Amino acid sequence: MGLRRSCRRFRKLRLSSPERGLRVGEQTFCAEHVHDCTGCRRYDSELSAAREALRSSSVNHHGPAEFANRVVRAISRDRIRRQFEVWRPTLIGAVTAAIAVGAVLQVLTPDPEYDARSPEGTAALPAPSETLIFDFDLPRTPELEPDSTDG
Amino acid sequence: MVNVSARQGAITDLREEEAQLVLRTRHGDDGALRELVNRHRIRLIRTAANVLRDAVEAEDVAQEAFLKAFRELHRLRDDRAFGSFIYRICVRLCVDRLRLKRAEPTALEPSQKTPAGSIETRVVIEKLLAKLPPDLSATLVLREVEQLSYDEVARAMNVPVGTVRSRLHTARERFRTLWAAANEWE
Ligand SMILES: [Zn+2]
Repeated sequence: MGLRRSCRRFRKLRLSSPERGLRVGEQTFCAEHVHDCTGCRRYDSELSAAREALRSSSVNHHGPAEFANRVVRAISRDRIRRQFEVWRPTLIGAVTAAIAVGAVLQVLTPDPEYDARSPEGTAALPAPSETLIFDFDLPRTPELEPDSTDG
Repeated sequence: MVNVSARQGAITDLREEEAQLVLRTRHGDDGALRELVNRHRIRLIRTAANVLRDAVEAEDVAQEAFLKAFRELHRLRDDRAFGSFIYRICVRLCVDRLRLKRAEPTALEPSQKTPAGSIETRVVIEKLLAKLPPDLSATLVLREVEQLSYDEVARAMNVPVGTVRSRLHTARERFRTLWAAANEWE
């Protein structure tokens, strides 16, 4: 069961009336309708009560006095972080380039110790005989000693 | 007539002063930045608290709005419009938060008595607003609680005035229905 046409008109006007002032004819219509229609009278009081409750529920919170300092600190941190983000690719590139140049230089630069031992630039590996000479005393094991008592 | 022009002049002066502060902030002046924050913080926090119905979250959103505004300062074409620029950012963040909050269902006890202005009313209003879609809820609060004009609501929500009108019409009707249902104890 739908609303009567006059009720629909009344409710539409009531919903928009806070913004646009009603014309004289509309005001007369509303006054007469609300007087005659119980349903719209109830609707009208509910609308007003809901509106009043909503307005009276306003929260008047302004935040603490040190809020501005907190925000300024957060913005400064954010600014630094963003500057770092802008420069990060450049920094990474510079560090990579420095490592690469260092590696290349290390490969190309002759070793001074290496040169001192071999002025001609050839490898001066120790002779095999030198490497095989043991110049320390091995411990003597009695089993391997010739039996001096036999004789 | 004289009063109106004097008021217009004062508003223009304030906007010019604000433009200067924005310019100094662009050049890294922290004093100007602090002054801008102090000028707008009360309005932003109060609006966010009314839309979100949560004081702590309101401060959080206001701080986020300042961060975002200064990060996106290059998008502000007229420095004199900084006030509406940051307000719009704050309202958008509030609506985004409301969308996230809508995922959490709220229960409303229909037997609660709700005398206007009481703490109970605030709790009931909070729950009723939570039942409205975020755009409708924010529009209703900006108009009814913050008492902004149609044009101001339209600017804050970045929608045409016609959209504000139709949203308000729907929001009021839905809010009335919810309010009536919550007060059925009568
Ligand atoms: Zn009727």
